[in-house]
Amino acid sequence: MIEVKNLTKSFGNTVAVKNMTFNVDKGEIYCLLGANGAGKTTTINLLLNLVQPENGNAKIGGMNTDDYPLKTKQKLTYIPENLSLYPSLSGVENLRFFSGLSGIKLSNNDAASYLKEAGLQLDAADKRVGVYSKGMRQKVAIALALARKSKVLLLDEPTSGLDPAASSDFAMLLTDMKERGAAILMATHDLFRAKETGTKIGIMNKGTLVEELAATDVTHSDLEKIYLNHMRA
Amino acid sequence: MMMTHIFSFEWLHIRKSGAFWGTAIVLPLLIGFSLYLGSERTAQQEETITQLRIAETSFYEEMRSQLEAIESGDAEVNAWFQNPANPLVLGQFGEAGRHIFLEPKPLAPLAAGQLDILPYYGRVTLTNLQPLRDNALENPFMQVSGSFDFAFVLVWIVPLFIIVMGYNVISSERERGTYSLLQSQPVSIRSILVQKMIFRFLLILGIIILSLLVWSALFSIELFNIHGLQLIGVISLYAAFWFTLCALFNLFQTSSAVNAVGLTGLWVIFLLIIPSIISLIVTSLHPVPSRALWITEQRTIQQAVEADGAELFDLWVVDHPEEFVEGDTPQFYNTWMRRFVWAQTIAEREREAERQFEEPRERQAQLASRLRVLSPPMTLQAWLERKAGTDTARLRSLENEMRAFQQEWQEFFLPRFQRLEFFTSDELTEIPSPDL
Repeated sequence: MIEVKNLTKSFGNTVAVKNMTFNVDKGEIYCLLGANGAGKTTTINLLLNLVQPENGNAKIGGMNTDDYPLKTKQKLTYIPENLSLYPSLSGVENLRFFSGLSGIKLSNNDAASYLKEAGLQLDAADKRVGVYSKGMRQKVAIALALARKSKVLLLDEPTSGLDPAASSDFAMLLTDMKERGAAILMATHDLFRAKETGTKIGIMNKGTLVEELAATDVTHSDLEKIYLNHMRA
Repeated sequence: MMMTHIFSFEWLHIRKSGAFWGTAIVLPLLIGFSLYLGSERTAQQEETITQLRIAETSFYEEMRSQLEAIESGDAEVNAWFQNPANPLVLGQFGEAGRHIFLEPKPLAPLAAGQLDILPYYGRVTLTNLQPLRDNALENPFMQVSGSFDFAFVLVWIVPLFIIVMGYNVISSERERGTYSLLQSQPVSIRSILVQKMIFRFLLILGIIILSLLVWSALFSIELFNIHGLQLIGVISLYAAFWFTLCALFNLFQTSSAVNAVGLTGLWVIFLLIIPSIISLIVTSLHPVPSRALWITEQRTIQQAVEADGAELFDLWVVDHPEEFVEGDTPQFYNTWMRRFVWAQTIAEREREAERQFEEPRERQAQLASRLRVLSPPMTLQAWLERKAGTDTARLRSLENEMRAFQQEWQEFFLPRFQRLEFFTSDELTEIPSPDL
């Protein structure tokens, strides 16, 4: 579902992403681990076509993001690190607005039921998003993915700043999305969550994908050692 | 479809903002108040015109009935200045004479223009051109507000509301953090933001036009005609100008605070600095002698004519023997013949002297008109004043109209007076009127 091949992007003299190649299939959660500045966000931005690659290509659902920027976005839902919605609108209204941008017209009831499916409490759905926590806002984004029946989820540090309970809730939502057949790419610093939730784990260092492994092949402590070895290299 | 969706959510979004409600409440009230004052001002003008016309008609009807009574022997003439057949009584004394009016145009309530400086009516007699003004602003609101009018609201205040509504359309998305989410949507972000801008533009334009139409209907200002259509077109262009500036600032990816300060700066530049510079250029290139100088000049001319009065009259009699009855004539005839000659001489000399004031003023007006294109607010102000008929050029034309009519008035009365021929009651229907 997500195909990245020889992707390279520099900003001035700084190489942000270098010869990056990986795939995320349906029903997979691919966790990209790496320090700050490793190139995780740039990879996601390349998939979103917010920046253009110098070399290589990124495909969503078999379509090159460079050639079909809007069609590829139709298939995905993106959840940035600091997910912001319109604070004066309710969860229902935000969901209706963003789903409408992909041509999906939701009634208030439809929106409320998607929010409920995403784990948002019913009484919160009609409150102003301005009073929502980060975890609640993420649930609105997951509801958007459900409403759009997104085949692809791109998540940039979704669990940073979440308390353990909220982080665990979010992981459960991702697992649910995975079981529905979504291909999920999640950039994160959270080794524990990557091991627990991910199907595959990619470790990035200075723009390069230095290791790729199956989450089931490693223990938490192995993953930590491998990660730290790459970071110290 | 997508536009409807974005418009409906932008409406949902904006109606929860204080800026919108501030605009939606205050702007219509300002427009309403300005139109109320404008309609009151115009009504007062129309009332003045009606009253003076009634007074003029009754005066000449009274003269005619008195003359008929004298002709039938039912009344007597006690003194020459009470004789309604005397050309002086009919063309010069007391309530005699005609008023020349610049009638309010259909859009007069929109702009007071130069009405607080230049008169819109005046009285013409055989020797006088007397520009007049309404004694006082009778409406207490007007006394407080001066010439607060729709033109002021539109030219000066509306841009501020447009800035309030448009300065952060895109920058707030960045600051709020929704920009990145919008970027990931399967619709071009440019298209989303342009539609949001268009919606806000249409919203504020709708507020202005709806307020204008509703208040106009309430105050009986006729806008459902070609003038109204033109006005709506011009308002749309002006609002589009300010909204384009807002859009440009938003494109520079600057913060909302920078946008607000920058746009307010542009407001100051277009409304204060450019007009001041234009005024400076115009007055420097074509300086007009001071008004004090003109008054001094007038006095000098009058004193010179008074000093040479006897000689001037004698020369005139030599030149115009056919226009003067020599011999045993009434005292008033000799006195007033002299006055007419002197008045005519003063008027001729003043017109000559006035050229040195009028010519630079004309050149100033022409240059200002060319430079005005640098400031859309100035262009709009001038357009509104022209449409309202309160612009300098029209109000200054009053004096020419008065002069032209005075000539007609003199041509009717003076030959009769010079020949000492009095009028019959039937002839009073032929007295010239500017309305005919």
